[in-house]
Amino acid sequence: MSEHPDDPEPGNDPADAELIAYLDGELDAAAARRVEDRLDADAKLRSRADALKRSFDLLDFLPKPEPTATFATRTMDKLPVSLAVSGKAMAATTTTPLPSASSFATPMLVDSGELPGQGGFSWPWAAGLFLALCAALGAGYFGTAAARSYFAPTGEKQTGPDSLPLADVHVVENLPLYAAVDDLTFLHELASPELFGYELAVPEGAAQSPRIEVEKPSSKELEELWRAFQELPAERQENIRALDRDIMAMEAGPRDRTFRLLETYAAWLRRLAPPDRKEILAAATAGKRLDAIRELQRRQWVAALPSALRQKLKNLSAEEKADLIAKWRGDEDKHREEWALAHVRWEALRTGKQPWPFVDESHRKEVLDYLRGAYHYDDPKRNRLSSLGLQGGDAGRLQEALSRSEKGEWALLGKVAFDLAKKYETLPEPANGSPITTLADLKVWPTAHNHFEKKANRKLKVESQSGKWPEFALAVHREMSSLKQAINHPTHHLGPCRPGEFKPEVRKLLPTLEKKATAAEWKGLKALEGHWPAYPRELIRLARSHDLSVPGAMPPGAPSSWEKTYAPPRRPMRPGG
Amino acid sequence: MTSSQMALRDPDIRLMLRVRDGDDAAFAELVERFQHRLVAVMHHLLGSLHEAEDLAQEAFLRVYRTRKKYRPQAKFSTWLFTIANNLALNALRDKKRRPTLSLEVQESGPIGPRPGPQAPADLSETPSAGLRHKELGDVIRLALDGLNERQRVAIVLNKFEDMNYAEIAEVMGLSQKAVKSLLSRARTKLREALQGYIYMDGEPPPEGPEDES
Repeated sequence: MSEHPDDPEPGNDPADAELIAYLDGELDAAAARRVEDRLDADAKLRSRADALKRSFDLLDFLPKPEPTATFATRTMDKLPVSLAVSGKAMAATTTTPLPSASSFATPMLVDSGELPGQGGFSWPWAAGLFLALCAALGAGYFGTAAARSYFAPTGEKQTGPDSLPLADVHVVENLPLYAAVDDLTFLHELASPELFGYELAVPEGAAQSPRIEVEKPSSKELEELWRAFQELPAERQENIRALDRDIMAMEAGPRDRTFRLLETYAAWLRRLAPPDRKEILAAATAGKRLDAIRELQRRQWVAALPSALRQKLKNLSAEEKADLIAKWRGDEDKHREEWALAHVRWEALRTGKQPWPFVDESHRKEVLDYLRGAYHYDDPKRNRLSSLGLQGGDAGRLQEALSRSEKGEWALLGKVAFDLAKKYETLPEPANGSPITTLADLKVWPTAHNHFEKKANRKLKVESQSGKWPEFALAVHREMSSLKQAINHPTHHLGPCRPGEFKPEVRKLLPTLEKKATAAEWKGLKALEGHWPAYPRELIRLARSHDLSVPGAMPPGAPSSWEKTYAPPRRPMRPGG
Repeated sequence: MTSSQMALRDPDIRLMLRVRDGDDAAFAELVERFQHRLVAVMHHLLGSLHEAEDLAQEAFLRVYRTRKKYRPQAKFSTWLFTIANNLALNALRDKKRRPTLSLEVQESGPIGPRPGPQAPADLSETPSAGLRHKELGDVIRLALDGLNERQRVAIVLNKFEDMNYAEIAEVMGLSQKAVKSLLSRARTKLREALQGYIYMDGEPPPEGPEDES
């Protein structure tokens, strides 16, 4: 809990401590008597005691804060279970509508006690959702062939949960969260600011609630989940295993945020009306599912508008309505962005100077070079930035920031550079400037190359990242790691993982880092030499913890300055969208 | 003492046991009961109602999320404030890491950290006789902000939650000896910071000036 639980306060006077404990009524009779004797004999001590008491009493002059009138209701509304029942209604009943196990069309009332844990961010209610989904699908509830291929049972009979490989236990435990997710790319899109990401945008190092470790499913519940998993088509099972592997390969921070995203998404799905949920789950492809989510969130957004604005929409044609909604949403996004930048701009206006680090031409160029080198936004074959979403996604946002910077306004570019660095993992490129980004580049590692040539679906997956560094190499790494084959060929790596393999500007950083790092930290880094991506990741982690920037992989300048200038205020996560 | 004995003595424990067993109405009642105390404590610690409500809300949500593991071992309020203490300490440390007071920029020179936050106002200035109540509140707020995070938590729990040393020790995960030391240092710092304001009403200090050693 505390860093130094029992350290005495430095500079503390034991006599003062005794006097204050006396004033607080914390001394036993004998000790109190001793202090009283001293007070009787010492006028200065009496004066000191009086001053201590009075200064403590002055705290009564602080304002008496009261929670706002809606605090309790807002708190209750944050509980996933209250998404269907308002705080007041919850106070009046202990029963909660849940989707029926046989059909989403007819919610039924069950006693809260029947489903322990339902309502929280714990797996059982999500398990209920998932099992209900499977039941509904098995009964042909979803009409499309695509939905059937996504969820439908294979009909294969298994012997029982004892046949579950150890590696699948984790997959099955998290099945309720993975059930309505296609893959990591889908999750990446879900995390975008326009969908759920805005809620999860907690800056690195900021106070945030760690993921609550919830109770594991009982053996009976695990068995039900296991059965549901076994009844999925083999390909879908494999996709879910791959998703689990991808998530578990993440570092602790991103992994926790990913689970929060999964929980938020599952909670949002659960609160939807059955036809809406069906629309999302029955989408034929990940792209169509994302479109359905966007459309539904758009409808929710419209429903939350003030009635006067909704009235305006009523008399418009469908086309006019869509245009006006798009305009309003665009305005809202713009206002949100403007608001996040307001404090940066205010300083720029107040001081008549551009915000850090755009204080002079050379620093501006450094940032522009970094953005071009890290994201290749102007190279269609290597561009890493997503253009999905309103106003062109991340690519559109960067273009907007670049165009504003050309007009002499740099604050947005700073914010975008900061946000992108949080969202996209960037690793240093090799010294030769030719990172591994295509299957052809993999020929130097015949084992991996042959593997993908033999496995068409795996090949398709890594090829979806072609041209992108480090995404392509990381996808290859994940796949080959899962095969438990040697990742690093004795002479060929997927990326630089020894000092001599980096570009000169990264090599130049190493002596500075060595001076700042502790002996143990440096030893830890050296131990990872020859391992990619572990070595560059540790290099970046160490550099960040010593407030240094790894050229090409991190925005130029001290990380703490980026945080101070561009990190948004901490925002509590809302359980529902 | 067994769980049922504790529950008999503490009505809040009885409520929490109902929450554990799936009664959400009981949780609503707990929020209703504790919202004023929790928001007030958070506000005294952080100085902003907005942040105080955010953290109080998060504390309640943590209680809810972990309800299934609840085992009554102390007063319910002690458990609630233990959760609140963790959240508040994190928030205060985060604020210290990312102060928002200054966004001074450097005109030239290499990209590097900017100057730190501005120092709080000097509280040793003698106040004018007509210092208004609100101004006094601001001065006391600054004095409170001048304490380190743990001192501030200890003082606030002691003053506004009327917790004794043993209860503060439990909430903060410290020994009673450490709490005694923490509060002593905090009270001494408060006295130093508020020295100019404690005899504003014209009443003279008892029996001459105190020793400033």
